[in-house]
Amino acid sequence: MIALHAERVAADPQAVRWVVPAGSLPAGRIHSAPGRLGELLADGSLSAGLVESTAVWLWLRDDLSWAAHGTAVQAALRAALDVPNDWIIEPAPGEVLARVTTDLLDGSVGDFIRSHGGSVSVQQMGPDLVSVQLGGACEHCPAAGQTLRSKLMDELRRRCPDLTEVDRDGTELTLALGSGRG
Amino acid sequence: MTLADLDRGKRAIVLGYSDVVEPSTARRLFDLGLAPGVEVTMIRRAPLGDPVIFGVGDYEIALRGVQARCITAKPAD
Amino acid sequence: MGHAHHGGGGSTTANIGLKRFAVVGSPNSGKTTLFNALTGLHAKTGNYPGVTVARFEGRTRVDDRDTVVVEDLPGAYSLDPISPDEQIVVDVLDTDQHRANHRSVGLGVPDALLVLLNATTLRRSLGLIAQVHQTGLPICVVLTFTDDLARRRGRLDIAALTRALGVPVVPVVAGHRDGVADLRQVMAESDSWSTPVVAPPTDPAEVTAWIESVLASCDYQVPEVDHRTRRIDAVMLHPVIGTAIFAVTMFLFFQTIFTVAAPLQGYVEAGFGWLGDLVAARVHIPWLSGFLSQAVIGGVGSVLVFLPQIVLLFVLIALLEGTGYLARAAFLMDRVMARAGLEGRAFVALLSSVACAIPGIMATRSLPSAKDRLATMMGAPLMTCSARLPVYILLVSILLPAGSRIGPFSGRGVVMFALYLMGAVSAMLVAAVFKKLSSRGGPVLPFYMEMPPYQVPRLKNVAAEVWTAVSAFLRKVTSIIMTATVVLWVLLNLPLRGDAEMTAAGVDTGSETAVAAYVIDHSYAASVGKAVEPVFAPLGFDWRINIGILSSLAAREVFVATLGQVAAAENPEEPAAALTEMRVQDGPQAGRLLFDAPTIAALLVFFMYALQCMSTVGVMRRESGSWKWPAIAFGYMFVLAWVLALAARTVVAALW
Repeated sequence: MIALHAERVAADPQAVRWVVPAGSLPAGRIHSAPGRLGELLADGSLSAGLVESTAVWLWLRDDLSWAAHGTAVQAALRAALDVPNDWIIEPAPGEVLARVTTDLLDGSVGDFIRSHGGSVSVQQMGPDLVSVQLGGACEHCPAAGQTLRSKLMDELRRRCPDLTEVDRDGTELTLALGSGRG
Repeated sequence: MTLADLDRGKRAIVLGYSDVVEPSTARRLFDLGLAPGVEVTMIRRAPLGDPVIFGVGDYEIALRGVQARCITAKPAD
Repeated sequence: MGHAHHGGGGSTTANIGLKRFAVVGSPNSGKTTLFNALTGLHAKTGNYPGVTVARFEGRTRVDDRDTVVVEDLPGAYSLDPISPDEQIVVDVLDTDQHRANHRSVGLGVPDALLVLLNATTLRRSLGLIAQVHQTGLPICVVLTFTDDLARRRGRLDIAALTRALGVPVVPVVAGHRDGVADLRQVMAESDSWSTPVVAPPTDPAEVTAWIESVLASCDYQVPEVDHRTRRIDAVMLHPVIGTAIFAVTMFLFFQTIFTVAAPLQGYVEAGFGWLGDLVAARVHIPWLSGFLSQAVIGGVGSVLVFLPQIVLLFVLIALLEGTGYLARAAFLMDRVMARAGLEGRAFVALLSSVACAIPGIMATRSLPSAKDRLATMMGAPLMTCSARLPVYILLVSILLPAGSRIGPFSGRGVVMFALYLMGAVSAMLVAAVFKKLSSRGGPVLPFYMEMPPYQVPRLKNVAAEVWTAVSAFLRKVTSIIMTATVVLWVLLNLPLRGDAEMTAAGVDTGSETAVAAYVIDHSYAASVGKAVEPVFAPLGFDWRINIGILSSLAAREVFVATLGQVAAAENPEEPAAALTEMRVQDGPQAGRLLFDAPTIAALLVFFMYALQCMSTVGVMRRESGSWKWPAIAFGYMFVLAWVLALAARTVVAALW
């Protein structure tokens, strides 16, 4: 049986991050999926889906709650993961990276940065690139900036093994997945 | 083979429980971590022959022969 | 064994209105240590209604204002109950039941749960969380043994675990205050505890997969085999060396009863002797002087003399348990105990009873099977407890002179050893019989025992356990024994006799001794003693011994105090001599020495088997949940005592 579990997403009650074995599916935006999961996506009960290397993100329609539908979605997801080749996933490296980065920054890495007086924001730039802007203490202290930046990069890399730093301009990082283009 | 047939220091993978086992016993063995798929090591036997200490994952459990005979297993190697 | 809580009532009426937390976890998750750390020594013990399961409840402050109630539920591996203990956990957590039918009067509904997970056995423990979620109650995970995990090179990302489980996770290391302080703060905010967005599965196959996923996301590194414990066990459980070490440990344990404690006893004895002299010198009111020296100092003092030895025994037991050695003792003795239908942990309970049956009976809580608990409880009072010692010592010293020898051994020593041995064998036999009788029908609980790692015993726990046992003993002394000796003193000295009456009876009213003897011979106590003569006459007891036996039903030690009073009346200077010279006053055996060999043998055997301890009765009632079992124990033990005493008398009379 496939090992999976559900995690809450800090800023988004309609989203759940389903942690699955690494490499189950290619990363990207979910266009369609097999079985019941596909039906839920098609009829809009699940408004969106995204795959990062170790997790599947699913968003429930606004009027539905995970408390009521979580178990059913879990069963559907489990069944669908048994046939990974029947999924249609559009590569969307920028969106995936932005989502993962936002998640990290809403959680412990962000707390860490903020506790040291820093601030950080994320923006998706185009389909492939993500821009991360460090501020606060990081702006004025090169060492702090360095530490916080490397911590962020380490955590990101654990979630996205093919992370690339495309550009670094002071406190602004431009990141991408894979080779960075297309 | 069953866990009772393991020699000292040998390892086995649990397959399941024998048919004659009471449901409550099977449940208890499962809860203790002696679940199908788990690797078990025979560590030592008491001086009088019973019970036997098995290593299961990160802890040690003493079982009598009567219980060990209920757990079917296959050699780990 | 292991719960160090004060005895006391189990009422929760004082706790209505306070927030209730229930502590849930498997037996080896460190619940006791955490409960003690939260509630201090101020927990109340009691019983769950109708079952042989002990109940612990206490209070703690969570922030500086609020007090909450903490209930330590019985250890449970899962909420699929296979024992009465687990059924209790299920019942307490069954929120639907509480609302639906009011069967749960007496079961407090918890407001929030503390679920203990042992960090070194996470793979197995996580299944419990999934089940507990079904109750719908707010949960906080308390992670224990994280220090052991680190020591054994395991690894766990606690922040990741918090995310994966969706509930607060607080690591707590036994002995470190920070973890508990953090936990208290988290408990203060129980209304805002996060919950998992999707409930974990409970189907066995799904839950295993769920556990794997959670552990993978936390970078869980299984701790290495505990090498230290393995190496120590290679010696301690070695077929030859281990058995030898065990034998030596047991020998030393019993040696402390006599040898080590003796000098300490000497000090206590001297202390009371000094006190007695003080009273004699300073108190000039005769009846007050008599009351103080006989009832109070004589009665209580003779018992407190044994306090050093009892404390020492309790300390030894607590230390052995704290290191983890008692689990090894249970392992080594399991085969032997299995012959009696019991198991290794029952041996530990019986061993504890050598100090005093009260902690011994409480130690039966470690037995998972309720039938085993009851059977062991029925046998435990037969172990030679420290209360029998004053009686044995007194009688044996009358029976055999100080220097007598049997072969190369001291005569008295041999007899004492024989008494201890017979007590132990009888205890085992009785427990075996009760187990056999109760085993008809119903599934047999499988035997399993976790072998905990060896640890340096935590002094706080050791101190708490010793204190629980000692305070129970002191309570017995001050309430039961004191009351009994005082009552007895009153009954032995009333009614007062006028001079005219005594002179008419031929008593020399000038002689204090003669007056005292007359008063006692015609006292209320004497009437009672003579009234029960038909029961005890076949055993060779006269009314004086009868009073002693009746009074010792409260506590065995009172027998010595009683006989002391009676003897002191006849010979205030040398009461001991008075005992050896006492003769039967009337009836067919008039004139024979009262304490002759057959009578002493009968007395020894009687004390070996009779249940003469109100404290034991009280503990039995509390642990078994009803009066039925202590009543059965009292009944069977009295019959056994009477019959075997008669047999002993007959045998000794024939052979001596």
